[in-house]
Amino acid sequence: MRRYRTPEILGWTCFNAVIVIALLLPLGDVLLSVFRDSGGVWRHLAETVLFRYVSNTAILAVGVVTTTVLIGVTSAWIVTHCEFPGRSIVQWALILPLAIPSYLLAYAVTDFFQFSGPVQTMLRNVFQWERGDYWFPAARSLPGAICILSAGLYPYVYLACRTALLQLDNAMIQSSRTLGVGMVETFFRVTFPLVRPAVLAGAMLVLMETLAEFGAVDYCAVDTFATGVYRTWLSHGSLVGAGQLSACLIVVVSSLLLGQRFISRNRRVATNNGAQLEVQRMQLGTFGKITASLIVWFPVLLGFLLPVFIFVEMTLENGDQRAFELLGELGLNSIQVSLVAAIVCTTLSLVIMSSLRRCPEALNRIIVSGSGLGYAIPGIVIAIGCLSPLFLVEETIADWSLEMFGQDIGFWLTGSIVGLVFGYVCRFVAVSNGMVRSGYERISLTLDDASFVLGRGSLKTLSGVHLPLLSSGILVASLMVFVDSMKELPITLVLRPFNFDTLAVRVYQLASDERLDEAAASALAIIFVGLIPVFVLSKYVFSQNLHSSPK
Amino acid sequence: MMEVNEGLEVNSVSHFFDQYQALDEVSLQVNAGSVHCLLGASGSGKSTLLRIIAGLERPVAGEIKVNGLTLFDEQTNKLPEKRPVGLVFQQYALFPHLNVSKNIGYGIRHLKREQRSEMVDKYLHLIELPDSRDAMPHELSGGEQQRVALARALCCEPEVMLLDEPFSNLDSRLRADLRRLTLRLLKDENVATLLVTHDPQEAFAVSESMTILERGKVIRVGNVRDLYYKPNSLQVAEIFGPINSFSLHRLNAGVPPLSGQVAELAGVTEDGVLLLRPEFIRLQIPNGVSNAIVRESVNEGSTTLLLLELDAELNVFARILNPAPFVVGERVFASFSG
Repeated sequence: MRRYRTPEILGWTCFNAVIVIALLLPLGDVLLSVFRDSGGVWRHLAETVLFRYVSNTAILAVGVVTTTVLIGVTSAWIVTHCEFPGRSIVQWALILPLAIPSYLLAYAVTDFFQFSGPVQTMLRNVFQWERGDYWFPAARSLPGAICILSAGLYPYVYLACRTALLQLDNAMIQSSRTLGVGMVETFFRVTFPLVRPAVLAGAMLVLMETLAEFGAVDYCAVDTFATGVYRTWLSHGSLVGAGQLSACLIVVVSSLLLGQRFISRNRRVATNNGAQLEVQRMQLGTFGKITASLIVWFPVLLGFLLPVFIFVEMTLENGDQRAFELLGELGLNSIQVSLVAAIVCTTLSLVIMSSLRRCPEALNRIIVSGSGLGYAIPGIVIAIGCLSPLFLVEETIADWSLEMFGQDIGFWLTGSIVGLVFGYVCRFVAVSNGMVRSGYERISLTLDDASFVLGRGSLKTLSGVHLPLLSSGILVASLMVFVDSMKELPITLVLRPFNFDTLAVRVYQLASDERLDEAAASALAIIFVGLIPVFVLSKYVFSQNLHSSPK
Repeated sequence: MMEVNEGLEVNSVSHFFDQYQALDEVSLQVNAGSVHCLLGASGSGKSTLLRIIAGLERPVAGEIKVNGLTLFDEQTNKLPEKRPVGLVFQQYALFPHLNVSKNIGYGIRHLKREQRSEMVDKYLHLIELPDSRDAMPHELSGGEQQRVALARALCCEPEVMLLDEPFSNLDSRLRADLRRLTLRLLKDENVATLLVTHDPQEAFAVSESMTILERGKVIRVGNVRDLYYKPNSLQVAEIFGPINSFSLHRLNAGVPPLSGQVAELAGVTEDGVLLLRPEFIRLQIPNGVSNAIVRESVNEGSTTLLLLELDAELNVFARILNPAPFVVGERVFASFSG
């Protein structure tokens, strides 16, 4: 049955196509740079640093994915299957590191473990050591970066695995036990194979975040593709060279995405015919309780409690009048751009998704799915890709304005926050799309029919039926985009107008100048804002755990 | 020499969920090679008892033995994987990522490859699915899945088999076939089987002895015939369908509501009520004298259950063979058939 007239479908499809093409401009520009002449920069890169970028990025990716899978799966299994004091708190606390951007984690942890940091100072005082008397692992190193990123990113695996474990029919595990197979062997033969698709999806997110990570690896002085892109642009001044490096990264990311699609193409879901048995948690002995608590609290400690403690302490010690003035000014900037980005993203998503609901034609669907690509692309790549198109549009319109009205509007795009917001929207519209889409999926199509039959047109149906029902989804969508924009470092660093600093940029600059103390208050502000979506998220995830009355 | 009881022995098992007492001193015994039924409404604690026997739940008190070996008491609590107990779930719980032969051979990984494959083949034949070796669970029908679940449990050669409403998801004809097959296999292997059900018809079909649980308490144990014909309370009696109750006092005082000899297969409750199944009320076409009117009639297939209103203002159930010669509204003559 075709609900809508052809012109309407055509109109919406064209409208969506224009928006999606605009959002994909940076991606296109980066890919096109492969055909441009970098003036020898590419050759120079290939001869000097390219191998280091590739090997560092590969080692980092493998290291972080392995570690996060280990931490995420182990902790998810323990909080699902073991009973120990504090379990209900830690199952929730384990997602807290999501609130802290990796670069802040890197600053805090590095500061804590470096030569002049509290740990080494204490060791020297206790053992009367001098410099060179002892060996201590360097935080600013590749292994250090692996540890830091793992501590910040494991919640992706934890969340995916935990959700899968909660949905797993416990009769599977109990069958295995009554068939004479012990707890540990059951994990490897039944539990893990069944939650593997979820773990894979979580690991995939970790992998993408690792490839995209800029701030933390930059601070740890590890040269990866992402930092290479930034450096090629900044120090070589070569946008084409940076674009060519970015293109490599895009190829890697898209093949990973395709690979994941391929692996999970006809994945069988472990469905059960309705009734599920509840999870039976193991009662642990004293030793078991202590071990379990240590294992699950350690990542929370390293990924959340320690950095928050460090920043709080720094703020209390060094937080002078100036720091708070700065916080107010930068905070206002951050809130301003993030708010605009959130509003633009959510509005776009609402328009795109409601058009998709009205015209679910295949072409329209494909076009709309293109709008989500930006989220998979590292921020630094989006930023570099935005530059040429933005300059081009800016110049064209400025020239035109000068010619027509004799007025020089100058850098109206890159000199204002419009360019920056465009960058955020390119990357984060996928986030609001997802939220609005899932909101729409919960609204039955019969409601639309009912509204139409009752004489309401499509606009009135949107305002009278959809918007009220979507309101919580829209709120969450804007919140997610707001926080993501607030935390985003590389896009802000590249696309911000002159003399326009946000919290994230200021923290980055101060940390680079070894003046972390002054940035602590700003860092805390970012973390505080980041906690909001984590609370929202935890409500979604752990509400599934409420049906636990005994039979 | 100490006497060793063959089969499963459960002694005074009690269990609590927080404040709620799920099981109250439950005891039962199942002999090797026989089937015992655990009957009760949902929430009566029957599944909990199975889980305790399997070791998936630790009871608060009690003792569980299999062929003389203690699985649980105050000192011992064997892990589920160490108990010679098999459990088949209502939802089958086949491993969705393993094919049929790997599901069946799941519990015998300690055997050599050839031995394992031999065992799997043997059970594939026994459950009459020799060609489904490589099929995945979702490709099988409900009945086939249930057979695989049974083979998987049998393959570990348990001494006790626990069946948790294993046939309740199947249609009635399939259910009867599968029940027959299951019980034959279990008897052949000399396994003590405890079957949980809430369906009295199923209990009749599979076992000679049963335990009735209500709110965690054993309210009656015995053989099926006694439980049906000689219930000791109205509550037990009604589990198996309609029953007539008459005051013993009135019967003994010589003023019976019906004429004729009361059948010997009747139960008597503590407070002096005689319980009599509808089969023992005889109906005749009145030749002049009638004492009741047919108020309701339910066709049960081979029999018909009638609700009669006696002139003495008493309602009585009667069950007669089909084809029933009476219709609603007709007058009849009812009497006891001794």
